[in-house]
Amino acid sequence: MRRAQAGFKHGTQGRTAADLLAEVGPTFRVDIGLRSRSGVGEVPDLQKKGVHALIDTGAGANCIDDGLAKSLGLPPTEEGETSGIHGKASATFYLARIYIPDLDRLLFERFAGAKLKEGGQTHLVILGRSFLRPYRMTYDAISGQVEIVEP
Amino acid sequence: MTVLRADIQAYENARAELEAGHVGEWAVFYSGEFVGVFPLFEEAATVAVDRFGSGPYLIRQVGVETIPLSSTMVFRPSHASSSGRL
Repeated sequence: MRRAQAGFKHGTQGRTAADLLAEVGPTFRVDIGLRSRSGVGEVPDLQKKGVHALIDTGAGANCIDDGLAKSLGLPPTEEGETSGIHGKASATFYLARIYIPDLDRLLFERFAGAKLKEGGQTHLVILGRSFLRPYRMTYDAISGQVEIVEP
Repeated sequence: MTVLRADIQAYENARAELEAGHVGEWAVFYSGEFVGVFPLFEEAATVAVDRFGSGPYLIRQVGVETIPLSSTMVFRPSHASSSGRL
């Protein structure tokens, strides 16, 4: 049974762990690239390491910062238009491998491009409900801890 | 955007045939040419990366018109008739 923490064990700069969880949200550091530089069966070695990813139960799809995707040369694989409460906007899906070391899980799929950094977001990747399907997540807002368990 | 214009046009040209026999499967187009159709996204993506590297290439699920991104937002793939407005 694999377990990982996406919350905060300690506070910092006058804020408690609970404060940080409320402000920042459940977070993993992830590695991103198109091809792994390691061999089959080895831990994936991807181009960009330690990117902050938000675990977002409000997101149906997984997303990546549009600028980051372009800087890494990730291939666009779909184009279209988003529509929602803020109106319409053009959007691109990018193909990427994203490795979550804390869960030893490798995603190889398309990610919706989103203007996260431009919008002032700390996280450059959003992992939504499709990512969470294999896990049981416990969100303890009082302690600031979020445990994700793979049964 | 519209780096996939030629591939989207090629998809439109093949759309009727694809939807007649491959709904739900993943079609790959590169440089305006049909590459293949695959039952799983990972298969389609593996072929695309191995053959065409960093692309771009279109990998589209046949017959899917909207993709929910969140409870308040959906994505609609471009079609050749609308890609000029992007």
